[in-house]
Amino acid sequence: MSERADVWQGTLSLMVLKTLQSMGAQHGYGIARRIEQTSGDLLALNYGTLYPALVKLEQEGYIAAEWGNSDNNRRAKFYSLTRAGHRRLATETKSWQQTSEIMARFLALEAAK
Amino acid sequence: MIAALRAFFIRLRGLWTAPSNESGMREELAHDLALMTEDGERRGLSHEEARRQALLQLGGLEQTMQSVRDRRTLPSIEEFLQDLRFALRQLRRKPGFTLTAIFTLALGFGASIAIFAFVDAAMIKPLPYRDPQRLAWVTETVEIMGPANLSWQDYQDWNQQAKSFESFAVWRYAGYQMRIGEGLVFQPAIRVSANFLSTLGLHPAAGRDFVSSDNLPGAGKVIMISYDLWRDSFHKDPAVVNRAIEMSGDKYTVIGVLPENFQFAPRGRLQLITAISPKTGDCEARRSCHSLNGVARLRPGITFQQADADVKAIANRLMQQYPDSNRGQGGIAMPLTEQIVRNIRPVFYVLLSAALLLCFIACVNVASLLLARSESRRREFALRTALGATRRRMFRQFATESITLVLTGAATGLVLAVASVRSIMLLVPKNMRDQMPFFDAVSINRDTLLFSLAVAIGAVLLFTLMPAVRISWNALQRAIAEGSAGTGSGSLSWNRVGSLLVIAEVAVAVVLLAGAGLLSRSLANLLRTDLNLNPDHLVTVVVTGTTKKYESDPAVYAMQHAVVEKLRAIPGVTSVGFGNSLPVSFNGNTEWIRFPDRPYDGKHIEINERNASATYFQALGTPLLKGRYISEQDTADKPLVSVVNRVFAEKYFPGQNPIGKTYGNTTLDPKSMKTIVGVVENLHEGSLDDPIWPAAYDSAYQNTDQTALVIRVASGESAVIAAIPKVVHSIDPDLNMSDVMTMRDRIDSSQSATLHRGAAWLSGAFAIAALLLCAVGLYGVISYSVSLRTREIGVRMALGARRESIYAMVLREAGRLSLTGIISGLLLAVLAASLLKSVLFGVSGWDPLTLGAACVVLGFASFLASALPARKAATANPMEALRTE
Repeated sequence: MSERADVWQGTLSLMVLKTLQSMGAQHGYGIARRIEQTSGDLLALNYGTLYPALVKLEQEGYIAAEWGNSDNNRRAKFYSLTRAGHRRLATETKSWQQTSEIMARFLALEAAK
Repeated sequence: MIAALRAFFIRLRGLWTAPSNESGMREELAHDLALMTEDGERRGLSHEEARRQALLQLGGLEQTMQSVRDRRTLPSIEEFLQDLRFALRQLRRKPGFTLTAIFTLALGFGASIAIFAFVDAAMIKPLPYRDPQRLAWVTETVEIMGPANLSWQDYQDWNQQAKSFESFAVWRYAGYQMRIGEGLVFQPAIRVSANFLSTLGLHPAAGRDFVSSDNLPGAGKVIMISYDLWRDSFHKDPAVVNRAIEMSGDKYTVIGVLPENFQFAPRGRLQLITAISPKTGDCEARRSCHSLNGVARLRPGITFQQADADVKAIANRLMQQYPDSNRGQGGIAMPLTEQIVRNIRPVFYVLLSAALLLCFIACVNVASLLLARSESRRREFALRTALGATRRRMFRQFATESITLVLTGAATGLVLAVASVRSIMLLVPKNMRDQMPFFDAVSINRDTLLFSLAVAIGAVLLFTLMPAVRISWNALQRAIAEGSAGTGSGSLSWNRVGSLLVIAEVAVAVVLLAGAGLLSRSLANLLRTDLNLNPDHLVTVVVTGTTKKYESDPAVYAMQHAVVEKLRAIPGVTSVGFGNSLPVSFNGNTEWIRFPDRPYDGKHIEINERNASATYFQALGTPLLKGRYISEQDTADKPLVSVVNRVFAEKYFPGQNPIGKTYGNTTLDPKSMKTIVGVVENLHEGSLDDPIWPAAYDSAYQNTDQTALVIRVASGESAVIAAIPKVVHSIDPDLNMSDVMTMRDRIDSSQSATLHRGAAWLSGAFAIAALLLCAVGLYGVISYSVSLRTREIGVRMALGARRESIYAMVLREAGRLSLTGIISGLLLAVLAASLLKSVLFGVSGWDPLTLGAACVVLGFASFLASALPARKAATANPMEALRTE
C-alpha cells in the first residue's frame, strides 16, 4: 500500500482514524479542525487532500459515512470508525510508535557523536 | 491487502456509479465550506473575505472535487474508455477509411493465420505422442538412396548394442484383406515389433498391447485394430478382444484396440497392426532383406547426434562381422519429425514467408492511410495540445485507435482464415491427406490464436509509433502558426515518410510476384517432365491377390493372365500390360547386381528392379531403343531375361551394345544370371522431381509380384474405370484393387505435383493481393500528394504550364517511387531466391525471365495507379485549383 511510500498520506489517515476514535462520528470539516487544534496549529492542513483521504478510508472499509444533522440543523456527512477501523488504528499506532522510537534513537546516536 | 482489494473493486464499480455521487460530494463540500466561512466571520472577517480564505484553504472547490472524483474511480481505465469511445467515433465518422483499413488488415492477417495453422499442424506437432521431440527415425543407409530400410537380423543386433535408446521398435508396411461380414475389405496396416506402441508412449484403448513373445517364430497370429474400425465395424464391443478375424486367408486373434485418434504419419491412415513373427524363408529370416523402418525413443539427455554416432558405430561393426550382407550398409538416426515433414517443410516456410510479406504490405498500406489521415488531423492535434492534452495522452489516443483497428482487422482475419483453411484443404488430394493424417488437425487453436496475437501486436506497434513519431512538438507549434495546416504547400515530412512506405510496399510486392512466378514456372516444368510414357488415355489399376489362393506362382500367373484378357475385352481398351509397380511412384525396391568378368570390390551396384509383361511398354508408350521387349515366351522354365533402361545401358555398358550381356546377384549365383534382351527409354519410375535410376525390367512370367496394370484406352477413360471393378471381381471376388485412376490424375495428384501446385497457387494468390494492395497504396499516396499540391498546380497552369507537363510531373514523381521500389525489390528477390531454391524445380532462383516479368507487371500496375491522379491533376480547372484553400 502507498502509506509507506507517502508518509504524509499515511500520517493523515492515521490522524483521521485517531480523531474519529477520540471524538466519535464527525464531519469532514470537524475532523480537519480537530487535527489542526491537536497539532497546536502547527500543521497547516491542506483540506483538498483530506477529502480524497476520507474516500479512500471509506473504500478500504475503515470508516463508514452517514448523512445526519449537524449542530445548527444542517445536513452533513458524518464519518465514524468501523470495527476494521479500530483494528487498523491499533496496528498503525503500534507501528508508528515503533518507527518514531527507532528514529528518535537513531537521531540521538547522531547527536552523541 | 484485503482492504486494498476492496478499495479497488469499489473504484472499479465507481466507473459506473461515480456520476450519481456527484451531488452528495457537492453537498458535503458546500456544508464544510459554509462552516469554514462562519468560522472566518467569527474571527472578524467580512463574509466575502472569509469565503475567499476558506476556498483558498480547500485549494479550490473544483480541484478538490476532481481529486475526490479520481479517488472514487480508476482514472486510467476511465481515460481508456474515453479514448475508446473517441476512437470508435472517429472510425465511424470515416466509414470508407475504416472499412478499407479493416478489410486490408483482414486480408493480410487471414492469409498468414491460415498458413500458420498448417505450419502448426504439420511442423510443430505432427506427432501426437508423449515427448515427441525424443522420438527418432532410425534406419540403415545405402549409397544410392541414403536412408533405406533395416533388416530384422540387423535390428536385433542394433537393439542389443545401442546405448542411446530407451526403447527401439521397428515396423514395416503391410495390408490385409479383412473379412467383415460377407465382403473382403482391404485394410492398410503395419507389422511391428512388440514394443512399438510403448516406444511411442501409447496404450491400447481396450485389450492388451503386444508382448515380446508375439515376435517369436511360430507365435500365434495376433492383431490390434484401430479405434475407428472398432467403432464402425464392431460397435465398440469390448468382446472383440480374443475374437478371431479372417485376414488374407489366415485367422488372426484380436488382442487389443488402438487408442482413439491414433495416427502414424509414416504409414498414413492405418487400421490394423500385427506383430512381426519371423519364419524360415521369410524376409525376416535373411540379414540382407531390408524391409523395416525403425522408430526409437532416445534416453533422456541423449542428443540426436549422439544417437546417430551410436548407430553408425554399430553398423560399422556389423559390416566387419557380416561382410557379405552388410557391406555398404550404414546407419542413421534423426528426429522422426524431420522424416515426416522433410518434403513439405520448405514449401510451408516459403508460403508462410509469403503470407507474412503480404501481411506486411497490408499493414504498410493501412499505415500510410493512417498517416495521410493524421496529416489531415493536424489541426485537431494542435487544438488538443493547446487545450492541454499531454504528449502521453495523445500517444494513448493513437494507441487506442490503432488497437481498435487492428483488433477488428484481426478478428475479421480469423474468420477469413477459417474459411481459407477449408478451401486450402480442398487443394489437398485425398491420398495425400491419408499420407499426412496430421492435416486433419489443422484448426484455429491456441497456437494459432497466439500467433494472431503476436502479429496483431506487431501491427499495433507499427501503427502507433508512426503517427506518434510524427507529432513532434515543433511541428505542432508550426501547425498552429500556419493556421491552414494540411493544405497549401503540404508537408514535406509527410511526403518523405509516405514515399518510404510506398517504396517498401513496391519492393515487397516485387519479391512476392517474382516468387510466385518462379513457383509457377517450376510447377509447369514439373508437369512437363519427360516421363517417357504417354499419360493421355491411360488408366491404371493395381490388383493384388492376398488370400491363400495366390501362394503358388502358377495361380498368380493364371490370375494375371485372366485379368489382362478380361480387361482387354472392355470396349474402348486398345492394349493392356502390367508390371509390379506403377511409373511415377518411387525409386527404390532395388536389387544388388554384379557383372561377370568384371572386377568386383564388393561395393553394391544397386538398381531399380521391376517386372514387365510383354505388352507393358507398348501400353505405356515407352519407346524401345534396342533389342526386344519381354515376350510371353520368357517363362519360368526358360533362361532369365531382362530389359534395361537407357541409364542402365549408358552407365554399365558405355559405348557397347548391352544386348546379350549378362548380370547376376552379388555372388554371381548361376541361378540368378539374367540376359539383357532389350533397352527401353528412361521410364520415369520415381516421383516427378526424382532423378532417373538405372533400372532392369524382369520378365513378369518368371517371377510373381503384385499386378500393376496399365490400360491404353482409345477414348472414354471414365467408362473403363467404371467397368474395372466388376471385370476384376468376375475373376475372383476376393481380389483387391487400388490406384484405379487415369495416369493424368495420378500425376496431377502425386505428392510432388500437389506440393508444387499448392505453392504456386497460394503464392500466386498472395502475389495478386500484394499487387492490388500495392497499386491502391501508390494511388493513395499520389492522390494525396496531388491534393496537397493543388494550389501549386493551379499557379503553374495560370503561369502557362501545359497540361502535358503537369501530367508528366505527377507521373515522374510516381515513376521515381515505383522505380526505386522495383529496384530494391529485385535485390530482395535475389536474396529471397536462396530460401526458394529448395522448392524450385528446373528453374534457377534468379531466372531473368521471371524477374523481368515481375518488374514489368509491377511497373504497369503502378503506371495505372498513378495515371488516374495525374490525369485528375492535369485536367483540373486552374481557377478552381487556385481557389482551394
